[in-house]
Amino acid sequence: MTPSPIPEDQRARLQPQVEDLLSKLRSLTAALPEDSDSALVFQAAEECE
Amino acid sequence: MTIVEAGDALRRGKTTCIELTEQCLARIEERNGDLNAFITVMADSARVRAVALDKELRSGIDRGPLHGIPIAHKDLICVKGERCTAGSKVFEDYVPDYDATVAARFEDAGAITVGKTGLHELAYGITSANPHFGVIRNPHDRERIPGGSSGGSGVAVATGMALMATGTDTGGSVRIPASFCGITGLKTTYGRVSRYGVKPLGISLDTIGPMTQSVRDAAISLRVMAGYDERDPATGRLPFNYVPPMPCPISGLRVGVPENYFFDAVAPEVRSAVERAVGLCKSLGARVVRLKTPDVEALNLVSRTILLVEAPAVLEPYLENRGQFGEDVLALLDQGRMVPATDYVNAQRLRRLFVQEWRQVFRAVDCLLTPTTPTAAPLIGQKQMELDGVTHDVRLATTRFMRGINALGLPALSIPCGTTGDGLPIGLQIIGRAFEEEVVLRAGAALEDALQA
Repeated sequence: MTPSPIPEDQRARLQPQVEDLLSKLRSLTAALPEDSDSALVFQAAEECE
Repeated sequence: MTIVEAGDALRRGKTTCIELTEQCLARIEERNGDLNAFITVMADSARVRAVALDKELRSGIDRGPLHGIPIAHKDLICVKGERCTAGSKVFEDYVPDYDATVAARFEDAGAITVGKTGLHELAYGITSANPHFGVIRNPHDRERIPGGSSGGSGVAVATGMALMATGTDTGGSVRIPASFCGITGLKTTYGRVSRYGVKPLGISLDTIGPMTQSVRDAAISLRVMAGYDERDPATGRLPFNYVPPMPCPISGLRVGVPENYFFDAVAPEVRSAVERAVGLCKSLGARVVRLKTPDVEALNLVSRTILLVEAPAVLEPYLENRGQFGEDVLALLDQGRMVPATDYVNAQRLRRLFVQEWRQVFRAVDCLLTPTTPTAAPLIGQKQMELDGVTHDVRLATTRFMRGINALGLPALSIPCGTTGDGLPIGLQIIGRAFEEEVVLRAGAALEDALQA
């Protein structure tokens, strides 16, 4: 299903909050070790239990 | 009346299932018009079931501690044949033809469902001021919020409309109304209770837990709710079968008290109530350990990012008709749609790192004590609050001690630990290791007994 687009006025209103969140998140991400796993790592053994 | 007290009275022949049910229905009749705790009241089916359960008891069939106990379910938990709105216009006419696992388990345990409780729209907010089903009011001060999203459940239990109500907690939604309404609320470990038949919000954060009038009631309820369910692959197989004894010893328990973050920007009355509880722990023989936790702001940020993205992942199909959503929920859903997938994945990478960091904390202590919320219940419509001379957004401030715990997946109990000068309840949070609800309930019961002594 194609999602309905976010109206431009709403997008403009929310943009500063989203940018603020992302800039803080990205500064944390920058310090992540390159080989760090995600909390969503797929574990085949568990799936096959 | 607690579940323990009601069960004792039932078995001593001092009351009946139908009497308990009528008492709750009378409380609903008396106060629901004003407080708006329930979206659906199931008076007829509750009475029929109560009569049948009385008959069972008379014939020697006793299903256990929940037999004949009037309870309520948050209205995003499916109960067969009853409307399940999730507090949303999107689902206002949805009637499931099946029970959620948690509802089925309470049914099997002999509980009597008196109704479905109101909530913040789609469980996505902390006020329970619902644009479609009305504002839910705090029973301690009707001009204040009960907290959310499980606000109706908090009010129902606080006023005796039900002896237990289910809640869901994705970023504080059991613990906030527990704190603001002055009751016990247990956020369970992620995977402890099946989410099958429960409307999702944040699929990697959602948990379900009991809201009760006492810690022992929460333990009794969790024994019914907990357990593996093949229909929810997140559920674990570790058993839960604990009810705190009376008295409940905590001698030697290592109780951590954070020196950072959790006591900053906190109302003075809250700070002193929690410190008093810390003192009680010490007097009960616990070993109080002052420590520094890993960065909670960063953890909250990660938890918030994950929820922002997971919520529209589930709800986006319904955004075709934007007019069906309240303004605050729509803004959150839209914000989530503006977060790139790469940032979501990186938030999950950070989450893994933080889980490892917090494991170190729980090598040094068995549980952590913090305030649940930095203040007592805000006013209905209040958007900002001032703490330590700084203005804070009410939603972000209220969730700041809880949100990150969902990203860690840990259990956390909120119990009342005092009141403000205005008589508003203050909540204390006890956080434990994953699948160690027993420890937080043990500490909670010991403190509850000491606080009531």
